[in-house]
Amino acid sequence: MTNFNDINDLRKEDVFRVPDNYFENLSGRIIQNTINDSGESSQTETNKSTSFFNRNRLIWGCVGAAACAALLFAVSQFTTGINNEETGNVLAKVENKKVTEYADTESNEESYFTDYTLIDGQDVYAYLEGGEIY
Amino acid sequence: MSTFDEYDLVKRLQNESTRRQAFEELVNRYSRKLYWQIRHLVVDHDDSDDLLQNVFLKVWNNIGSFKGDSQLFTWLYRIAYNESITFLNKKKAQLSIDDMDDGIANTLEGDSYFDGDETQILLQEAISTLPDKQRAVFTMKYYDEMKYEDMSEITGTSVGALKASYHIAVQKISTYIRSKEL
Repeated sequence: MTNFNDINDLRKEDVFRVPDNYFENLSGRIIQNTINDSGESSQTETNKSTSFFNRNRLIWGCVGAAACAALLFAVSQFTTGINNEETGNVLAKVENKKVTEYADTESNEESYFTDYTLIDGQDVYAYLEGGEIY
Repeated sequence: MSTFDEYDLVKRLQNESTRRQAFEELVNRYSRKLYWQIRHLVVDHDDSDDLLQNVFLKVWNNIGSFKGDSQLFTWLYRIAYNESITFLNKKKAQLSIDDMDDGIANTLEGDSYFDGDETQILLQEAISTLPDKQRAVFTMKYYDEMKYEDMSEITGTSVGALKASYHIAVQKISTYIRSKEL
């Protein structure tokens, strides 16, 4: 092993090598893979690691969106489904006293969560123009 | 590339009818430089190739959001820098510290695309012990000979901090190599 003095004395060029003709083919391959992966062409073979990465992202994106939708649906059912038969069956298992307390709360207060899941943008603007601002 | 040429290229990239041709021009112009920036940081050729592909995919998908508040090349370099740092973080999370120290030397000795001697291998080992951002600063300065002002735009770090970081990196690396040679 040579005696080391200064990193600037070390060889920098040609330490890292590339496969033969790598740079000659690089541009074409990048363009092909990029356009394929962005969905504009489906005829050419794609780079496996990049496609695999993008497919995973799409799958997890769909899973996340489905989970959010399911959660919102469940919450909306729970907060607005007092008269819903399924909700009634669930509530039937709860003590009458607790059901009464919950119903009173729901009827006496504007449930922030209920409004949030039901209103749309037009309602928000209308409310802000004419209503009170909390 | 002159400012005018770069402005024209960006305009063509953001226009659907000229996008593909402009993208080819972009890849031809910058792919080699970006490859070496990534390669010096992540070392492995196949990893570098994958990351380079990811960089250009992101460029293709996000060119519409390029506002021109920095040079196009700086924007490209920044994407490559972020992709490389993210990759290194993921890789580090998958390895134990012992694996990393042994892994670099063993990997490079068997790597047909690495043509360095024992000291070069020690240099790569030493670089791998640096924190990821300091490693990036070191490789950008040492291998790519980038100006501190350009590095500052890419990393979002001040020139003074970059100079200090590089100086400390050099000291750490020198100490590491000397300690292994004893």
